[in-house]
Amino acid sequence: MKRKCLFGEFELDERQLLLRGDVYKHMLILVLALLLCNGFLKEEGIVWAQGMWENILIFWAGATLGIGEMILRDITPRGSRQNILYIFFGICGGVLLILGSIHIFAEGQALLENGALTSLGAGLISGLCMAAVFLLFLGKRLAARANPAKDED
Amino acid sequence: MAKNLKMKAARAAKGLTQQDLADAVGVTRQTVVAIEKGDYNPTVRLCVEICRVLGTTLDGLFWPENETKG
Repeated sequence: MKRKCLFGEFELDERQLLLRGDVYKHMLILVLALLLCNGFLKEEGIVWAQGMWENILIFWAGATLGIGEMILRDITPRGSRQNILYIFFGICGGVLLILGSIHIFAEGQALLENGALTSLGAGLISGLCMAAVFLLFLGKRLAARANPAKDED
Repeated sequence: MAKNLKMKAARAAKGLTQQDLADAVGVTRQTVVAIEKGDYNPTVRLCVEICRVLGTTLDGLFWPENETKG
């Protein structure tokens, strides 16, 4: 199936499309489970992240699982420029982690306040999620380079 | 699912690697690997494409050896 997208021609073969369905299912289950847990926690008056960060972190958990699984299971469109997306994730994650570290070590800002993640802490976790996606991509790429494609039994 | 040794043999007879066959039929190498291992059941469209590239028939590649056609 070929169609155009932001990162060039988007083409997944039929097996990859099936696998992608599995990945979306896993993402959906994780996000629904986390939203359910968040709902119960809210009902009990427990706030684990300040402001909008609860929802953003739930989104990142699902996105990281989904994108990571796609990288690990080779659900990458052939001949596309999707690598740009992963590199962009790496840059954003790296910037968030560096800025967060500066705030913590130079300015002494807290990651937690009254038992809830501050914006800084939540931002750092978001950065970690983005960096994790990039590291998975990089690891997969290096592994492929170390073991060039050859016939498998 | 059993391994598809017939497809593997037909590919080898044509002197094609898994990557060559994958490129010829427009799928990834992992998909060809999965079909040969018996881990993935291809659609008829892909089966026909593989047969066309390998110069054989659907029966020759995909019909189980120990079964007769009705």
